[in-house]
Amino acid sequence: MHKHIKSLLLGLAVAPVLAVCTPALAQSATLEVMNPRGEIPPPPFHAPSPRVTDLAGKTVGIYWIGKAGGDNFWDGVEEVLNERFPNTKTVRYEGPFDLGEKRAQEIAKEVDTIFYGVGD
Amino acid sequence: MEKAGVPAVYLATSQFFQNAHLSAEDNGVPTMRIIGVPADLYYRERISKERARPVAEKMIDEMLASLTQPITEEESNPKKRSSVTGTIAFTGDTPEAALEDFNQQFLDNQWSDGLPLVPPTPERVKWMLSGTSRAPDEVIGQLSPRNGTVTIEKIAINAVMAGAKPEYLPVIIAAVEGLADPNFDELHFSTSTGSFNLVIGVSGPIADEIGMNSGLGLFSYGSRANGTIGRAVRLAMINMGHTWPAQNDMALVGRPGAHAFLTFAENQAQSPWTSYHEAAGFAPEDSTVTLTVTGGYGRTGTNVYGGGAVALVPPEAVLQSIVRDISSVRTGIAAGGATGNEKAVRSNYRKFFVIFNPEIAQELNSRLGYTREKLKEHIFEASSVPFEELKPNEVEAVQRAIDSGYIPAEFAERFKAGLKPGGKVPMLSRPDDVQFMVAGGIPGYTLTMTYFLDGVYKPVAHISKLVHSATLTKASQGGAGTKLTTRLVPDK
Repeated sequence: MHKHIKSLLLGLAVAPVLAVCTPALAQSATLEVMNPRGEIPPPPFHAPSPRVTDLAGKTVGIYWIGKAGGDNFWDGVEEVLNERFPNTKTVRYEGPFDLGEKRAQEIAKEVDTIFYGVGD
Repeated sequence: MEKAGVPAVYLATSQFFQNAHLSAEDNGVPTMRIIGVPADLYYRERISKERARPVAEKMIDEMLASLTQPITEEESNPKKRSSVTGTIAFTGDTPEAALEDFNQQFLDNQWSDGLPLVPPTPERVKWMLSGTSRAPDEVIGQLSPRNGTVTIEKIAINAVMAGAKPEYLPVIIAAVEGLADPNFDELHFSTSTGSFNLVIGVSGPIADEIGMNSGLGLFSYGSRANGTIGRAVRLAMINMGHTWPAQNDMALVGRPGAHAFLTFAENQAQSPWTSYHEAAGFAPEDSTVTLTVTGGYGRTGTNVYGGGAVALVPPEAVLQSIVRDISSVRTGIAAGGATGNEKAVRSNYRKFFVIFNPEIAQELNSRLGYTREKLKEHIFEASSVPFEELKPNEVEAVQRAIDSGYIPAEFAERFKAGLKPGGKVPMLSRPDDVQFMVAGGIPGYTLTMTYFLDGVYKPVAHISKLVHSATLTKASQGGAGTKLTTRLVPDK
């Protein structure tokens, strides 16, 4: 439907507003309206980081924001990882939704790759 | 973590999948790898480790693939987002058909609130803009969660759609300025699962001049000013914040008054106290819009006191009940202590916004002698809790608030004195944590509305903005000049 709205754009062309043409001219009415949307300035783009090729010998971080029950799920993930990859280390982290640049940099030094889960 | 160079995978439930993608896009990582865990499975099974383990087993292969499969060309170089500019035309066989097409397409594109809109034709937007002397292209800021740019013209377009009149526009602008203020936490209340709500209170002479309801049924239907001012704010959030239910507005049950919020005017004519805006430091002739966040439901939402037209409840009892409830709503302090998170301690002190109905306010003032300041001080003192009633983690949290300097210096001694056997510990960080206006009719009810004192993502959840640059009312004419334009609670 978004495409539909775009296809109806008139640009800055002047058009009659809710103008009803007489039957002799055309059987239509046009309603011209202004766009209510606030433009979202695009943030600087970051591509996802290159992936690890396999998990053997790697450290996998698990970050969770503490929302109820998430620990039960992540405990399960950690168990399965440890069973499948005995040479893979897992490290658990807990903190706010927005972990902040400083904390992210600290964790980056400790892990090769990471799962991030809000709990929702 | 992606920005820190760590290959990451974000796990969200399927209910929050789109929300997670929008958030990643807004943070500059639009192709972040996100996995949706089926919500109907996750929420039910997270109850115990035993039940959650099979969910982990079900998801693990997809999680591992996301960690190890190489990044594709499309993920490295995604297509740029396109935007809609200019005017938009809707054509139909009849005016009614064009109007219906406009309404349906605006709704389909999530540009509407679901109720029929007034078409924002260039002529009608120009008419709306006649209510302010501010330039249409003046940029106010950005609205959360997606940070769309707010201009005076965009506010006017949304005000037209809401059905507002030009003389309301300066009030609507002030309200949107409050939302866009970098100190005001619009993000949490507008997106949280908790269905938090927004209260919009107008104080000052412009309220009467534009016909706002401040009396009986203050939150009711039937007032064009109250209804369309609130609706214009809602539409501004939809169209400049780019918010939408179940996508990034995750309020699980929605908000009471979701289309127009709780929009009302102070009943200064029947108030025994100076106006709210004057008490906040604005000039008597000024008008302001105050935004304050409240819980949506339950005891941490809106509570009602007094007997209304039915029961005989004296003001002493109303005040006692308010004090009792403020004393008891201290779960936030406990939570702060439990997590040991200093930010959490600060965030979990609560603020209370009280709307006193006129006869209670008049009695509190004339018979019981409460000025505004005395009343705040009384509530601060009386809602203190005996030290012996606090749990260890609550004591720990209060102590941390004192040690971190969060408790203002002028009140720290009272906290220290209270934090020992035989002492009483305040449940508010300072008397100013209680703010109040008088509104409603006679008879009426008194309401309290509560939320975190500090915002969750930004510093405050209570802000007052000056209404100015009005052209069609006697009140609020002229620019802001050197006037006070913003007041935050707590002061920052």
